[in-house]
Amino acid sequence: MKQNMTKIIITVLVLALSVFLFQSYGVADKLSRFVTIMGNITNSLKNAKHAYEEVNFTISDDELKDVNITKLAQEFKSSIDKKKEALVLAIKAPPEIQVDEIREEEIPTHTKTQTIKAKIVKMEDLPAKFKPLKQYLHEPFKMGACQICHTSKNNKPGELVKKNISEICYECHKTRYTKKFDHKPAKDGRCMDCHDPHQSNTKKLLKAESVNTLCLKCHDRKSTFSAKAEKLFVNMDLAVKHKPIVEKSCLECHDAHTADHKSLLSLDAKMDLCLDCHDTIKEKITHAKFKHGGVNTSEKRCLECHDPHATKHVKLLKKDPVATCLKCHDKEVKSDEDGGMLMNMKKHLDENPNWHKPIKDVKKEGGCSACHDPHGSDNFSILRKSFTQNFYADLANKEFFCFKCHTEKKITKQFITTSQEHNITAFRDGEVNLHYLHVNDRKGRACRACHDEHASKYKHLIRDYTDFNGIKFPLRFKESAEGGSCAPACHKEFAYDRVNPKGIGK
Amino acid sequence: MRRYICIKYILSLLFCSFLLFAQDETGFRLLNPQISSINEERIASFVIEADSQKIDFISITTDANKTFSIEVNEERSHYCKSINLHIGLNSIKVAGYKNALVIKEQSRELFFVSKVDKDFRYPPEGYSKKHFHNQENEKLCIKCHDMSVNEVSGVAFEDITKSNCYGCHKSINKEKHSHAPSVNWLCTSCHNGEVGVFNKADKDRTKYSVPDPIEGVCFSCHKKYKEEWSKKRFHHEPAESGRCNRCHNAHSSLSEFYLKKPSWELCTDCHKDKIEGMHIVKTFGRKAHPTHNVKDPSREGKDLSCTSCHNPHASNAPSLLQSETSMGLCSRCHKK
Repeated sequence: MKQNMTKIIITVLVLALSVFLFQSYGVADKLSRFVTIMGNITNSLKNAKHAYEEVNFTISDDELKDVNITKLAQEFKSSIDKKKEALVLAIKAPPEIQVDEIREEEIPTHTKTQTIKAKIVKMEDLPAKFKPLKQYLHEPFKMGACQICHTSKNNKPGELVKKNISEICYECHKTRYTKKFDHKPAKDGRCMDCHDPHQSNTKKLLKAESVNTLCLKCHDRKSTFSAKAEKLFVNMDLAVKHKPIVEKSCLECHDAHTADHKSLLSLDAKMDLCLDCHDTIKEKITHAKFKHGGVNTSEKRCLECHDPHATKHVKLLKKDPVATCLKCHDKEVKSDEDGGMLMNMKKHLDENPNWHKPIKDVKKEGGCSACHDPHGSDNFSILRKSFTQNFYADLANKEFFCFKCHTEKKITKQFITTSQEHNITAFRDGEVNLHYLHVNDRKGRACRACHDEHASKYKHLIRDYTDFNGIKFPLRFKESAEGGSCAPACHKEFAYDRVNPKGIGK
Repeated sequence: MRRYICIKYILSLLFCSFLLFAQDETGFRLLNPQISSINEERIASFVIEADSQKIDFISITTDANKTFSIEVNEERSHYCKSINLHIGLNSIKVAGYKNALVIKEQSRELFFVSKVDKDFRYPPEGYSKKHFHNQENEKLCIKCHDMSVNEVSGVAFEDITKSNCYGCHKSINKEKHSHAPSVNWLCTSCHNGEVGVFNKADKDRTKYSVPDPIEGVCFSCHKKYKEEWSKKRFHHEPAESGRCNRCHNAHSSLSEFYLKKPSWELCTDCHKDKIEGMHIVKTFGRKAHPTHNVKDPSREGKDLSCTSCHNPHASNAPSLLQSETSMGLCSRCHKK
């Protein structure tokens, strides 16, 4: 009995402990995540696209002799039969395409006489232009079964089985008109524009050394002067190129034949496609507390600022960083944050010659995005770091964004021994740091009370007006040789002098 | 016969009025301030219309024997001067001279009301508030002054002297502690021409009336106090009734927080019983706790005053004390 009791107690304890551990370490959560991950992996393995196997051998004459074309045809048929059922289910025509246009899976039929007549062309009998053989060979060509495509009439050795070459291709390659948009050459049946029917040194029997060169044969902007150039043609000579194009190929985004979205894309070009790879940005765009209208509500979304191919500017921007922003901010724009109107930044910059360094020195500092995150942020005004919106801010409790670049000591040190220290503020009366006096207080003022973070008429980005309770008060800042004076709403005119102190703050 | 009497009567009336007119014309005419008027500000603006042929010199003498003189010349017909008043009844003499001889003398009795001082809160009988900024009066000024409002709503003047109000009212802001909207000449942000419950009579008499109670105007900027005070249990009457301008001068003042007087003096204007006698801790010893004239340990650099212990606006503690517990209150200063 006693033993039983202890057993029960122990089991209860163990259960309680396991429940506790289960709860506290979020085991259930982790388990479910593990299951989904494993599911994803198996799923992707199952649905992985079939990759072409590299063929890298030469065919001996003996081998060619052994090829039985009838057997080959039967094998071909049976393999296609297997796929057929799946394909019939998979291929669904978009509504605008008539059903009979979708080619049924047909097997090339060979009559008995044809089969007997079937002639396997031996290696040495191949016309000279095919030699030496290239790396990748078209299957029928590899077999020497020229008559799959060509009629073997003596007078015209190259004549085709059917007049329209695409029809011959589609006999075996059967993806056609299955999606909303088609590549023009594919739609027109000009398969041979891109593919070589016999052999090539490039995968997929392409007629060029690589996918990109093949695409650019037609789509190079330099090749045309037409007005359509913007849309269909790219200039890949520009300095900044989109990585997938350089490292892989155009096919990373585009499908060569047919696709569900415009520009032969698998997803919507404006944003979905981009976010498919750029997942950190996706996180920002979708979950940020404050969203940028430029990406979230604009017409062209990502493409409002970025070019997907190549540009002259960093981050694939269409214009230089500041000009990109000013493309929209050249007028008062309604803010997505609070519905208020954002200032006309272009006008502000045009009117005020002294610019904040990130704006002035775009190349080095990065322009507007040095402080703002164009993809969205959890801080107001999509700032990269939090900053107070108020006029007053307690310096002790706040990490001031400005200190990211500006020396904190310049502001927070009450007295400055000018003879000993370097990199000291110029806003001082003798040794009294006037920045400290203004900022380091229970009722300390935020930097923006006096400085305009974008541009100003005055030196040191001193504002002309400071907003206090909705009223704009002029600072009336005047600079003298070794100091200056201010007469804002906060106090009457006070002057300071670095060399001959006027006695402020004592 | 009856008609004759009537004509005679009219003629005599005309003669009398001519006489009156003639008397006014001898030298100068005092256009402002008007007879037996009340002033709510320390400053009274004197506007005198002078005839340069009859007088060459005007002097204004206050009852504190301060004299201001204005020279009369041919170029101008109207002369303005701001005179400082003291609380209560002021008698100000205006005299016109020609070759150092008095031609005409006239005096004005003005009553400077104090909303805090019980003795001067209500004017003597016959005195009333007279407004200057109505169309009739402004016609007189329009020759020399631009009488329009040139203030852009919500934007202060870069150069305050550009304000049309500045010229006549500049002395209103000359004290040490001046209120930002006032010193930036954003006059119409408060002088919005509206009236409140307590000054309904002023409606349409002046263009620049201020509502009484004024709290709506004050709280438009001092937002946080509205919420803060409304949560408190006890309220000081002037703050509760929204008449901030009883204690505060919205223009400029010698005392901090734009108080009309230093806080101790201001409080004791109403709470006169607290001036003498044992106000605090009567039981400990014979000496009363000081209420002023010593340093305040709880507020560095400031003197002890009523506000050291009492909150002049609102508090959760009875007697509007600054702390809800007596220990908390005393320990503000008595730390050990």
